[in-house]
Amino acid sequence: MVVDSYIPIDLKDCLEELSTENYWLFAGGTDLMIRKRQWHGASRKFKSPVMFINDLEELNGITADQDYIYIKACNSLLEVYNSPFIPEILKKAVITMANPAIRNMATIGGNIANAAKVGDTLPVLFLLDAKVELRSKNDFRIEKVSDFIKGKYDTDLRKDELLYQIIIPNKSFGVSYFNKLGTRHGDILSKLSISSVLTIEDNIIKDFRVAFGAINDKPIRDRFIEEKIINKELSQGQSLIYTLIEDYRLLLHGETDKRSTRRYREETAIKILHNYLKEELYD
Amino acid sequence: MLKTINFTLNNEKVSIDVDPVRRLLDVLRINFNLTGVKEGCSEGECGACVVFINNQLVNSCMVPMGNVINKEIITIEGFKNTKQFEVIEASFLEAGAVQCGFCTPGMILATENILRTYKNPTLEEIKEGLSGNICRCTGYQSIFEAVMLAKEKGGDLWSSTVISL
Repeated sequence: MVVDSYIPIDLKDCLEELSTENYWLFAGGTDLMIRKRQWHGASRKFKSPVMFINDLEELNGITADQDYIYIKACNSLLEVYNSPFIPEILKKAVITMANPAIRNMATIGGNIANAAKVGDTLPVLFLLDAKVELRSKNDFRIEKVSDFIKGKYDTDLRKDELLYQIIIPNKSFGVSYFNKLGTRHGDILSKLSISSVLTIEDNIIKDFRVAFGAINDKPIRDRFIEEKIINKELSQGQSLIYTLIEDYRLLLHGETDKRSTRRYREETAIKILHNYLKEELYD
Repeated sequence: MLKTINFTLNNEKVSIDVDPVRRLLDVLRINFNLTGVKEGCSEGECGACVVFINNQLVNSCMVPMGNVINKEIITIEGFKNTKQFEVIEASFLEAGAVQCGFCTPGMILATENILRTYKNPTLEEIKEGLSGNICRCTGYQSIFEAVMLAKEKGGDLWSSTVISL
């Protein structure tokens, strides 16, 4: 079956069309083309029409002002990595994703809207308090990425909406940490990932954030745990390491799948976090 | 519904009526008979099907035809007419970096991408640059050596980032 498809000429045309039909949106297509794989030579099959948005000028480009960084949805992972505005921790995550050829095509908007459990930008965007701007024909709304992602392959995107851009508070951090485990170094999906930022000034922990990816269906971040050591003296932070570890342990609810076992995911994540905290809070 | 898609293929303007969700890989191999573009894993991990789209290395098994409108595509068949290819080919032969040859078109285009990206690639940068290309028989060491040899032989050949056919 050949599905209907639409190639809009600009954003207005795209949103107009989205208001009339329930489309599958194609950005880079790197995940969709594989998820819908067929035999050699056959077209991919979709239950509803598809729309190609990757080349829309309005959905490309990265800008920043004093307060925020604005990443349009169809920027490729390589473009995100190469931009001078991008926070170090997001760059660290992006460069571990897939391989050079896929990073040329896969988009940051696709990684978010796809909402795969293993999407490596997601925990980092949770950590950075990033928001998404969603546009429809007559409206727009801004929502936290952590609210937009509802679960595995599940988002709050409405039928007539498009993920227009990602908005990240423009802030710098003392330490930017990203660690991801997979079966090999290159071109692999995460078994688990841990990201964290930490800022210590004058012996006071000014900022501390942690997010876990690829363990639960949705990335894990808990502000209440973070606040236990924020604005505390470094020595108090050190004494709370085991409390933090046990708090985080209770939040991990992984599952066993083809990439890893639940036990490996949870135990290893906790050990990596423990080592990271010891290293950063003591050294 | 079929759509007319125009693009430039190995420096020639072409047009094809095709389902926009059909893979670029299938169109290149079946419709244009460019069989140097190989199908390996079919999921973007082996790099046998890589081509350049607007001078960017991509896996053609992941590209829907709807995303190639007005783009410039170069396959190994087009790339073989360049001076860069001559140097890379000679280096692969000298280093013994070809055995069965199935991965070689992808390895050569990935090598070109590395040499465009890094002025003097380190071993780590070569490994990273080839991380999306899998070889099952030659072994990677000789391929890494071939990339270094190509840089040595090519000199300033890669100072420009645009391929000239």
